[in-house]
Amino acid sequence: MTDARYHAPEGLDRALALLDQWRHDALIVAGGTEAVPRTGYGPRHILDISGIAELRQLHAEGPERLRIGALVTCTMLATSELVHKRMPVLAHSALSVGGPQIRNLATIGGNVASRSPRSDLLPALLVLDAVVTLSRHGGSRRLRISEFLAEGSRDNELITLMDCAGGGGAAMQRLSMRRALAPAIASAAVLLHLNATRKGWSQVRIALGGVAPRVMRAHKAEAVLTHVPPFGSEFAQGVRRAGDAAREEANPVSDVWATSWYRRHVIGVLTQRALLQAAKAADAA
Amino acid sequence: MSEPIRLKVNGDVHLVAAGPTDSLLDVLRERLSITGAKRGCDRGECGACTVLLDDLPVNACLVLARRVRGASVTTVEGLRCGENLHPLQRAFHELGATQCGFCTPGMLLSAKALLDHNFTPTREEIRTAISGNLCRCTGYTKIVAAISVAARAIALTKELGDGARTASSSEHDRDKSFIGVVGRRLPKIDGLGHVTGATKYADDLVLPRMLYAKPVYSAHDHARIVRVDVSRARQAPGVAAVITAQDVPENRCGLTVKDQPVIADDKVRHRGDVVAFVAATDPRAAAQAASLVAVEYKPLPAIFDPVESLRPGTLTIHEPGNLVPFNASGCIRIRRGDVNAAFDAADIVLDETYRTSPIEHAAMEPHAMLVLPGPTGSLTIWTPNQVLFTRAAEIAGILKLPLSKLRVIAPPIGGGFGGKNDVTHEPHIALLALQTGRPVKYTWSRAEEFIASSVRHPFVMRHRIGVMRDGTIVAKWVDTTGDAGPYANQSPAVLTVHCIFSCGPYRVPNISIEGRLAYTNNQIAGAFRGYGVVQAAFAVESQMDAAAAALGIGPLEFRKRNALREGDTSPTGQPLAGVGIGECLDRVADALERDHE
Repeated sequence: MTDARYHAPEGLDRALALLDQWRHDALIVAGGTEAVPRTGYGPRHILDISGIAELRQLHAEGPERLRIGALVTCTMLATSELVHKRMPVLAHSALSVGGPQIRNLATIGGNVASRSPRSDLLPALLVLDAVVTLSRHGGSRRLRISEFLAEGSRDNELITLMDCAGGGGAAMQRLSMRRALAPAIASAAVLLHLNATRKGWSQVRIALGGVAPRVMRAHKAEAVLTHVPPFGSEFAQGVRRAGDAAREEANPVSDVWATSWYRRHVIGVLTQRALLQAAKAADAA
Repeated sequence: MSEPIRLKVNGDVHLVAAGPTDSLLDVLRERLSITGAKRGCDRGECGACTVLLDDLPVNACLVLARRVRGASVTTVEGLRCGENLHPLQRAFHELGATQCGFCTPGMLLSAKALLDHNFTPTREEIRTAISGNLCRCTGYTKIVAAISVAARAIALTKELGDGARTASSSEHDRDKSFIGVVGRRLPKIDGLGHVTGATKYADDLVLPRMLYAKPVYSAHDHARIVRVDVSRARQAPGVAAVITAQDVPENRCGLTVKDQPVIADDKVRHRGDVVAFVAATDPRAAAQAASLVAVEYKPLPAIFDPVESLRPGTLTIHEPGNLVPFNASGCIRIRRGDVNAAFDAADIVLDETYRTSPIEHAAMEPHAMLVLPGPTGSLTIWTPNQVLFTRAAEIAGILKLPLSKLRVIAPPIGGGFGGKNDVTHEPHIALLALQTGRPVKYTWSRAEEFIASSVRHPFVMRHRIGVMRDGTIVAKWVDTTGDAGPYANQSPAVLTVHCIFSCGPYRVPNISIEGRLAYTNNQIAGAFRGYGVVQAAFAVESQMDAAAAALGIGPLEFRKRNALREGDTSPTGQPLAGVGIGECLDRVADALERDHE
């Protein structure tokens, strides 16, 4: 085992040039919460991007959108007024990550890069239909987050930006063994838009975490709710049926945290709770 | 490749060498000997290494030292202002918010980050602020109370200016001069060290020319060892010594049954068996060398279930068989009255089998030990052991040294719970120190804790209870098997207590209890607070609920009817005095009623 070499470029261009050169030989360190415990496995190059200031920016775009740099930390998401105002579901999700110390380090880019089924940010980003910018030496491309989850990035690409649209009402519900420092057993995020008449939905998005190899959209559950009016007993019944549909769509495993059976049961409950909460928010929006 | 970096810690600027993968925690502890930040897990799970990085709490184990650049780092050592304790330190000390103290520095820094911008925090805000810090001892209640007291003190100082601080500290001095301590709440004797970072746990100790050790654990649950080749490890950079089984003077140890090799020779019987131990000039070199020890195994089928282990024809883990031979019969038997007749006469008989799992103690402080060799073959051993004198004798026996050659010192223990009750790697580290003539330290990783330290015994407990319609227990028959893991260790004592408590705190006139221990290829089982009683209580109380339901009597009423009374005897015939179970149940009933109102 030879000692790794450490590089901390301050400019994005330099970082991308280095990554283009080393590809899989480089361990990319942003917040470090996932990467630093892995440094013992002998990477040849450590590419510490934490000093690239331009990736630590959070901007408003137009009246509803946010442009979030990959190095924006969970604490920044959880405490930013802009995020609270435009997409509270993202602020709430960011507050579910690890504990305060982890949130002060962990970045949105690292969380997305993990593509982990247990990610606390991905369900929210999926219902917000985030667009991921992947930069490489001499170019970049934009991918919808669902595509990114399916395909991942290439070995010379770095996640640099996340574009999200706010509006409507959104909510996230999760269950874990304790409130901090414990991964979600399951989680559900929901985004609902009322249509112009306010008597139907123009948009229903449901994302499930922890119940499949990747965080997933629950398209069947969405279809169940799409034609249900946003109030009254029909809505309540629709929410129940959507929860059942989410259970059917889920494909959970058993592990040390929960059995497959329990995860499947819980995802229905969480979906229903998130739907009720999001409907309230959509009504208030 | 280490490069010098500028690191500002507690206001002082240090020029210090940092390797590319060194964490801030590595540099603080190993290079600067600033040991207030504790290494509890080294992967951001526990919060014991929390420091402030430009006023934000972070896990120092997750921050690469080189990325810190111009930021300023605050550790617990930087909390005091001159002679004065920070209000948080004072509140933690005076309100008893420290127990073992290992989580305290991290807890204080998380709390400081909160109070720096909010000195009127709600209980919920306090709980959130410390949610990234695990405490294994206190249950957090006193910690939350201390933080809110400190917040009020800070708020008061801000309101009244410096006068307030003087007034409150003179009041404090008067308090201290008060004679008489009985019935008063006093600060913990070692609390001041805990809140200032002055307490030195075993891993905080550093000696000149100290070597770092690393074990090579078994790669199999159960296997025959064909060959151990340490030649490459011996030649690795920085290596001072590598020991194997042949270096151990007395290679069989054990409290009641001498069944455990200090270093595995013929077989490995679980993943925590040591095959070789390495000492080198730094922890990375030691780990690197350990990975170069080549062991050839002939894997054997492994047994993980204690009941299966005792079935005839099962592969043996020890010769002649898997029943732990701690006495002539390998059994504990307790008999009273005539159970068969009582079961025949009973109105209802229930028969259930209960199982429990192994449990890791998970003290915040991993095991750590340091051995200093003296000029005449004597050794000074620092080990956070809960049973120092008994263990010193065991270590002396393994090393074949007279006890007079050993000085064994227990530094403050960062949580034990029975998990620091065994001789673990002290003999290995002592042998490395004797071979090299240099001090040697070994600190377990959290992963090694789970692999090689002891666990609470899993038990398989068949309980049969006989009750009359009026709710009286008339008979209890228990057949219980404990999973000792691969070595007897303290299992016979745990089993004895387990059997004695297998009727719970209840009057049972006719009793038959039989218990035994099985060898398996699981972790070694050992002491864990409760010492065998917890498992018995799970079975007893589960069956009490089932019996109450079968009788149609409330579970509390059923227990009260059968609770032991003053002058009753235990299953082994011991007359009982000061029996509190009846009153305890009454008080629980009262509390429940109050809760409902």
